[in-house]
Amino acid sequence: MSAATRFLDAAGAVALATAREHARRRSYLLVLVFGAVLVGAGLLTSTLASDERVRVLLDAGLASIEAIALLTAVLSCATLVLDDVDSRVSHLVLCRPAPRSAYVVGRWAGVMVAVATAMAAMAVLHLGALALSGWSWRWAYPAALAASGLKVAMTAALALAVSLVTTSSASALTVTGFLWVLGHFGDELKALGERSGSPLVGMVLGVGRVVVPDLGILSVRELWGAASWPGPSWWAGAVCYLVLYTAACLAASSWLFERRES
Amino acid sequence: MIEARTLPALAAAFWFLAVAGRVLLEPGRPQPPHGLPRMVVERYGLQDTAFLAGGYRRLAADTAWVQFLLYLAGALPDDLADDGIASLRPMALRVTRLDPTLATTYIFAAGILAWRPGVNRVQEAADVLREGIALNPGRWDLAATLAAIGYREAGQMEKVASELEPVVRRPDCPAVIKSILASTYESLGRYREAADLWVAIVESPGGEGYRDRAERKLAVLARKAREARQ
Repeated sequence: MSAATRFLDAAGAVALATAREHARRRSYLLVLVFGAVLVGAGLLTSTLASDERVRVLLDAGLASIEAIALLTAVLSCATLVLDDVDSRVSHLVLCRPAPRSAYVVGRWAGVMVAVATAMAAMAVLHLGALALSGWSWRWAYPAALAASGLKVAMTAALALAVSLVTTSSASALTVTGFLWVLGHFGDELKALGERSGSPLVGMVLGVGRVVVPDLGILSVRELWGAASWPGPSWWAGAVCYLVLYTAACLAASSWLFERRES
Repeated sequence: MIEARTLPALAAAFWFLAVAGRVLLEPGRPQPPHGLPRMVVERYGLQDTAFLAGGYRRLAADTAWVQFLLYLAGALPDDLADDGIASLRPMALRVTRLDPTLATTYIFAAGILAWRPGVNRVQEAADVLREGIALNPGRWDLAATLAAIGYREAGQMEKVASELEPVVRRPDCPAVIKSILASTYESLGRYREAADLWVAIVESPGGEGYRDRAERKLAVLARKAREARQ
């Protein structure tokens, strides 16, 4: 068996166990119910929106799905590995001949599988509500959902890395929340830099904008009514950006975990 | 297999590639929110900023749109004259500066400002539409509504009707513009077309709120049509 296969086998086994563990949790089911309630609330609010009923229902649903998925993923990733270390559960896993990075990647992947399942379930509910409102299908819907999933996956990987740096779930959540906000203010940072008139401020903001994760880059749902969309190669580049950033966070998390457990 | 000591280098390489890719993607980046006029922040600045911080610009505009409609439901028709209607333009611009693609707001607000009896804020209506045209160059219905306002001011009601007819055929045309065209038909003595339009308003999505008014109008139109025949 090659080293890569051994890594994938170990990571897959940990991911499967993590996804099962999540599915059994009462809090996970509560999140699903809460997501359904939010989609239902969108349905109620949309009745107040007169001529823009369908648009409001569409936006409220997609935003709710992303917000719920984000909360679940970030809360899980910021606490999962730290809790395992504190309760020494990780020692039981690591006494087996498996690479430690497989354990970290597997834990993250398991959370993502659980979150993706929850997103799919909420999307089915949302699509049902949209169909009742007379909405006609567009392929931009699954694209928007997939883009939200990628954003959530990257933010969860970031939360995992931050939790291993800060060694506290609360501070990991705070820092991740801060980065999430900054990640959506890239254009504003650019505008501030341009208007400041100071080359130093402009440079600091420009560098800061490039360094923090750019979460607005794949906001497909925000572009729904835009007059023009970029071509497929641009979107492929945006997907590669999020995948690479996620990979960087996971590699950093694996290294931090190795150091911590060695 | 990846060795532990290579992990930091691997993380740095992935991160560098991601950042370099992001810089390359910059020129084709789609949304230009910093090209928008200033946000309207007098009353709901904190709420709008909170939505934007989470990356929910469209939802912020949707919420502002619902608040705009609720404001209209509260302000009209009692406070029509001064205070109530004075906030209409900033409330409408709050929505569109969050998301200019919510173009229904321009037509809806301009319709009330220019056409609603007792309001007569034609200049404000024109300003709202001009901003909409600048931010949505492809939306010819905004230009047509602006032209209709001009013709109405000049008393050329036939031309008002001919400008609004293509606007009303758009599936996303707000009911307020349809009701304006119906009233224009009525003033021109085209009662059959006015009645058909009122029926279409009630049957269209979001037209339920016009049911009472439509029923009254249909009764008036039937009476006027009878009188015209006699």
